Amino acid sequence: MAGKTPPEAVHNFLEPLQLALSCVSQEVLTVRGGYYPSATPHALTLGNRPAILGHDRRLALKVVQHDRIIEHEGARGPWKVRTVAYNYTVEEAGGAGRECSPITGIQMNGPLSRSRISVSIKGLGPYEMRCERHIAYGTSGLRRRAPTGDHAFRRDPPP
Amino acid sequence: MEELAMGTTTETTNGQIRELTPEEGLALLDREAQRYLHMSAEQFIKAWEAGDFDEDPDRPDVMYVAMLLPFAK
Repeated sequence: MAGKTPPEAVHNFLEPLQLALSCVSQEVLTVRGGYYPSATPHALTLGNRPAILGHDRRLALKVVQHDRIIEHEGARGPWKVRTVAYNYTVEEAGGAGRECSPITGIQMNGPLSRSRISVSIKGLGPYEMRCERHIAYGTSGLRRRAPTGDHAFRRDPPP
Repeated sequence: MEELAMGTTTETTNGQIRELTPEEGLALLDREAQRYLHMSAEQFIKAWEAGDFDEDPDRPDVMYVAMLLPFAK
């Protein structure tokens, strides 16, 4: 997402992200880092960690993401927000925090550095999950390249 | 601006997205470090910077808490 100013770029980045997350959770984004370029990454997470998902409350979502505000040459801009690291995790709610494991239907697309894996999760009931493994780590404060997981799924309609 | 239950002030965008203060960011890191690693934020930062997790840096709980470090800076 781009903007004429850094704050506009941040706004144009966060608003659709919040809308997308609202498809699966009522939690709001919590951010830190402000609205201008910084030597350290801007960070976002959900207000409650983990966020309980769905009306059956069996699953929970954790989100942490690092972004940078950069100058961008192109028709839009000149400012944009670039994600440099993320960790989206779905785990059992209220339990030992065990992460869901892919069971069947694994399908990988794209280069190994950014592979999309479609999975079915045992006991997941009405949910269907897409899992994206992403190894892309820049200068966001961690000292090693970090494999992180990204999971997306639809929220059940309210009862 | 709005007042949170913990008594600190935070900004709100779109009436939804919350911008944490430095104190709230540190409190967030502290809560999650306590929950997943049974240590304080200060203990985690010291251990992280000392390389105490280098033998197994991909532990999900360590990675998760480490990614919260920017909230405390």
